[in-house]
Amino acid sequence: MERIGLSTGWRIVCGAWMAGVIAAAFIGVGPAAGFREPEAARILFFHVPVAWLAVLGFLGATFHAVRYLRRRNPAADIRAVASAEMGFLFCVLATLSGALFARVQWGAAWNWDPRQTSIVALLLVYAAYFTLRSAVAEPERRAALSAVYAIVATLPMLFLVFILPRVVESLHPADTVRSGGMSPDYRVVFFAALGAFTLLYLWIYRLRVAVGELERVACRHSMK
Amino acid sequence: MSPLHEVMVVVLVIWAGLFAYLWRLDTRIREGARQQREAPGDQPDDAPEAVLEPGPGRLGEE
Repeated sequence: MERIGLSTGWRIVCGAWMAGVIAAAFIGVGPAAGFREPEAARILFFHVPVAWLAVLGFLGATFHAVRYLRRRNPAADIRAVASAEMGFLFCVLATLSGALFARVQWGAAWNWDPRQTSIVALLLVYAAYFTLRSAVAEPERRAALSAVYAIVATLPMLFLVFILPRVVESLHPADTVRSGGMSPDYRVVFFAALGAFTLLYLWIYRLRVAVGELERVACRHSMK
Repeated sequence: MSPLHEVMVVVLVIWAGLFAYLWRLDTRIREGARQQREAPGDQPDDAPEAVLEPGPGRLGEE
């Protein structure tokens, strides 16, 4: 089995880093101009990193699904499902934080904005992945079928995240980070938040993989 | 204390709870993995299995 979770040092770094980001988000930056409720702009330090990490999780599921189909290694299947679960979890967090922000900024939590609609479709695509996994009892068949599904699901995922919200008119701001729409202090806290959430993602992901490995060994023992 | 600072304290408390939970989970999973490694008869998946095969030219030699 690989390393489990994070080392004690990295765990402390993760805890302190995230606490620092939270403090900086509330104390280190002021209210942002151009928002209906300027104080609410701070939610982007949470909302955007979790949305990025959701995409990372789904891409990780694709990567490990390809690895599984090439080598038929059960460890790759465990990593594929762990990545998909991480993507799903962070996608739910992005949806909830987005709805919270929409309520403040646009007056209603749900507006059927293209970005909101596409994220619901994305959740349904990956909910079907978990349904498929739970419907097949035999481990090898389950791993192979879900790997194929994860690879096929990559195309709608990329379309829903990167293409659809850009070709349809949307309330949602686009490319704020790249276009320089953030003030320097917001930019610093934003990238610090991105680092903290990535470390948190890595920690939870590694724990999930370790649990998967433990289950696999326990299952093998029970079959002997 | 301003409402903004109150929200910050609430978020920090939530993070502290989540962090403590993850730390405990990490410790328990490590403990579970250690117990599984020490369990009798356990062999990792990737470990080569011992196979007894007759060497060439040994069996049937007169």
